Amino acid sequence: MILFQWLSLPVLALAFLVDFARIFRVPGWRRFYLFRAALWAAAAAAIADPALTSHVANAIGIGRGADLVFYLFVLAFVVVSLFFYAALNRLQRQITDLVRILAIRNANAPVDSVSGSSPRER
Amino acid sequence: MPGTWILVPAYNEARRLGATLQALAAFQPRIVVVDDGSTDDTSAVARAQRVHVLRHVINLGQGAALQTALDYALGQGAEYLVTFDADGQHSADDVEGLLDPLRRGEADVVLGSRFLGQAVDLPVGRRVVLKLGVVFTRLFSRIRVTDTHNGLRAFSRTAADRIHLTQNRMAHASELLDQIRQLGLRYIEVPVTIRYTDETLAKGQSSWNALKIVGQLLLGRIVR
Repeated sequence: MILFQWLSLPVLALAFLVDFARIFRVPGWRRFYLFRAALWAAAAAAIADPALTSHVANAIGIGRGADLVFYLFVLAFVVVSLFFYAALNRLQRQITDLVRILAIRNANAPVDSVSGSSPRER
Repeated sequence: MPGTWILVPAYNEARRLGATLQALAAFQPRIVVVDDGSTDDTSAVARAQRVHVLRHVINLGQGAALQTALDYALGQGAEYLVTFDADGQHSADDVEGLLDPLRRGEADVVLGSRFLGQAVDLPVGRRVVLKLGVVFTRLFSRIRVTDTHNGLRAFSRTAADRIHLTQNRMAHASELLDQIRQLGLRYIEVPVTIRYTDETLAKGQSSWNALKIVGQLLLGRIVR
């Protein structure tokens, strides 16, 4: 084994064990911890046996294991970016709604105006 | 108060807002100024007039300010709503021309067009970008207009009630056209006059913002 394997495999094994235990101890988050545990296991397998990625790549028509890993990272990057962009948009809408409610509630009407119905809040 | 309401979003317009509101004096007090988190005396200038003044505690963008003004005016019982820029580029004389098609029931939304009317001192570069915006809008929003980013517009109450802008900044103008088409609202363009000065050009959006708007709109189609 090379130094990188000696350093990374124990860390990944620990991460796997922690998340595997959480599958049973944290109800409601089972699928999340199952996914994460599978991720650590896949990473450990690829690092322990570098030829493994090549076998998988060849099986699905990709020439090299490194290319497969690269493609997976590109896909993951796009998915994660869109996820965070959507989350940012939702947060921005919440802030906007809050600022709008405050603005409408604290509106200054001219002294001689007769107010109609109360300001509309969506 | 039913009737016609003028909606004026404003950001750091303490120097020009007073003159704009004076020009719109005939519509007082049914004018609502939304101070979009200004760092100058915009709110104070507005409060010195017989108008309704709302203030965003942080700067959100013109789209957000417009939606706030729409919500407030609808809550006040507005029948017709006219959006009007605070910087003096628009002419108060054009407001009646915007309202006529609404009163006759010919349209739900009336859009001002500087290219049907007049664009005084419009730089060539800005004209090119605006024209490209028209082409983009015809392809992307599938709506035929001659001026896509004109802040002078009028809405019937029904139309304003159905529209909801989620783009806080300058992409709101394109989003509005999108919603007009998606909601099946009847629209018409009328000629208006836009006057440019060095000051308003410096403050207005740069031509590079057009790319940002396109990006926001395209992303908005795939991400909620």
